[in-house]
Amino acid sequence: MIRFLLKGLLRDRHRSLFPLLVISLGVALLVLFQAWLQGALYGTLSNQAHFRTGHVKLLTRGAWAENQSSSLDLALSQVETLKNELATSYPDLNFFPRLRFGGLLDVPDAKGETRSQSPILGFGLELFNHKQEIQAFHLQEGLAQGRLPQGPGEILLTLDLAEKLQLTLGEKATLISNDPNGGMVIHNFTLVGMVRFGIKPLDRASLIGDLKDLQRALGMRKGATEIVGFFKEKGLNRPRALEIKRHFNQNHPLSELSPQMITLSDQDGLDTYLDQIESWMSWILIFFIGLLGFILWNLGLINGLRRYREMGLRLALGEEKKQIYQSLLLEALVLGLVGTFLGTSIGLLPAYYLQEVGLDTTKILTGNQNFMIQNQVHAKIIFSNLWVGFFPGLFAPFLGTLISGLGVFRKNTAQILNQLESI
Amino acid sequence: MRQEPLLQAKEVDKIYPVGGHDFYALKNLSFTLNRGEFAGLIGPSGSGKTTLLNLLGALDTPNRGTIELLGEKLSHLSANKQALFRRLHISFIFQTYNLLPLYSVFENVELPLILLKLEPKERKKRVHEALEWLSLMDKAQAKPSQLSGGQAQRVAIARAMVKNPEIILADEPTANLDSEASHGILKTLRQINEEKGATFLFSTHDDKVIGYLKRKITLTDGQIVHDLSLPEPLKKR
Ligand SMILES: Nc1ncnc2c1ncn2[C@@H]1O[C@H](COP(=O)(O)OP(=O)(O)OP(=O)(O)O)[C@@H](O)[C@H]1O
Ligand SMILES: [Mg+2]
Repeated sequence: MIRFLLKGLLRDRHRSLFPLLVISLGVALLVLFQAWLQGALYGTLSNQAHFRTGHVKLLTRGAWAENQSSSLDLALSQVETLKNELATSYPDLNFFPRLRFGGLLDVPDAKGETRSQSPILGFGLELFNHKQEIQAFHLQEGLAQGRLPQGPGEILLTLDLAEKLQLTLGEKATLISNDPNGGMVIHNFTLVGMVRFGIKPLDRASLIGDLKDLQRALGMRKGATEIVGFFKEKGLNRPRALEIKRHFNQNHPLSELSPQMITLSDQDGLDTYLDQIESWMSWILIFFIGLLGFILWNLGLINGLRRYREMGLRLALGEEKKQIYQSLLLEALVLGLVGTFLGTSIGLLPAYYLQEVGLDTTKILTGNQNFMIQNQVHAKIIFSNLWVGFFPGLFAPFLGTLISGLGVFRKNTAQILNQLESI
Repeated sequence: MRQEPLLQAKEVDKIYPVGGHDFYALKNLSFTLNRGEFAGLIGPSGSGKTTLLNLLGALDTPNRGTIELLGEKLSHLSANKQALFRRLHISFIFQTYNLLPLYSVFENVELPLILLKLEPKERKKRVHEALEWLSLMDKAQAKPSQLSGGQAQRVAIARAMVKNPEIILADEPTANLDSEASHGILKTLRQINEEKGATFLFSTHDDKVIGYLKRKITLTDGQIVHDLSLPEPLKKR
């Protein structure tokens, strides 16, 4: 009998091809959407974490109170000690001190006069002994010219900044800034590489150098503006981050220069952003289940009517109602499975393209504030792409059939046949 | 001929609720159909012919009284047992043929045998036999949409006889056919009745059908008003 029904299914495009198309298309869209959102939203979030907020971050109470001021008089001191303390207390995270500072970069001509000058945003990172910071800032991938700093006195500039200053590789430039006590700092650096982050707020005017090197230049031996912490595995764990924050803050004094732990969620309104991502994800899923359910429901109802003749006849020929109902469900199941499988595959193709190539958003996104949105937004294929389609793709038609098929069950056979006479 | 009761209705009522009150489509109706009969329910539209056929075919249950097929009270059987009875013993022929449009003539005729779980080889043999009876061998692979009304009804008849049922119930089988096709079909049905011993019960108000019947049961307002069996010699013509 299954063979017999399969023949009918394959021959009737209204029953096989159309629902299959609807399911595949819906599932494909869902998968693509999900991968896209994952890439775009979590991508932005991950940039935000890497470049700015960490999963958790340590800074002084004063700096936090002044909206993460990077003025050096509010910097952390005894950074090595703090870092060791953190690493022992919270071994599930890696911690990296960073020095963020502002200043001017001055390029002299042959006579020592200013040839060009620009304000800069400086980053002192642990470049020499830690691969992780290089990875966090995507420095290797972002390197457009030259190489990464390998010794003292060497810096990277963003490509835009170097071009603006007309500074070429190997040339020297002078950093003019302040030390923690307000004294003037003048220090010469050699440009060894140029990077492009593909993120507007960073590309404009960033200077990157080694932490120790910049600490020395800025006259703050053991100081850093912050220590960022990242979970070693699986990215941000919000509850654990909160736990660490509470634990740390309970055990440290409340003075202006004492360290305070904050989490990613505390910064840049990321808490709402995170909640939004999660609620968007569930709404999108609900929307797709609803939409597919609705379409398939209607398809199912129409199919039900179109197939009254078959149902009535099969009843008259002595098939049990239960069997007929089961065969309807089986059909929905097969269609749902095949459709979901097809749809997932179809959806993954453009998702893969968007993951590898990305979409240029520079024209779409103007005036963004602090958000580290990449110029090229990529989708990200995640494991749940593989099964998310089954919710709408399988359950919707199955449920639709389950309910519309009840009609066959409830009606008495003579009634169904009587209706046939009038078709 | 041996008088062996095949189908018996005893004091049957069938009630439909219409506009708040009970409408008796059949009222205290009793009759017996013997094996090998070629009988017809005749009567005006609305007299209850289809209603009675549905009860006899276990497609519906009476509000009162009993229907017995092969000594079993149908209304006492579970829905699944009733389905089994239909599957094994009862065939229907409908006014509108009710062929499945997606399936070939062969497959349409094969369906009852698939439901009986016969082996493919046995099915093929029986389907061919039935198609030959109805002179449909050359149409075996055709789809219902490619058939004339007469041909479509022949397929329905082949489907009805292929499982050698105890009884074939035919509700106005010629209503949609022209005179020539009707006569052709009726002759074949009589032939099947006489040569294969199949029992037939028709519902009709078509004079052409009535002319072929060996027994005429007249219904009016849900009750039998005449029951006339033709004497033996007249049966062969
Ligand atoms: N499901 C139903 N609900 C209400 N009344 C019904 C139902 N089915 C049949 N009837 C009524 O029962 C009576 C008998 O109907 P039935 O179909 O058996 O007549 P019939 O003799 O087959 O008529 P026809 O020659 O037109 O086919 C009719 O008056 C009809 O309106
Ligand atoms: Mg009728």
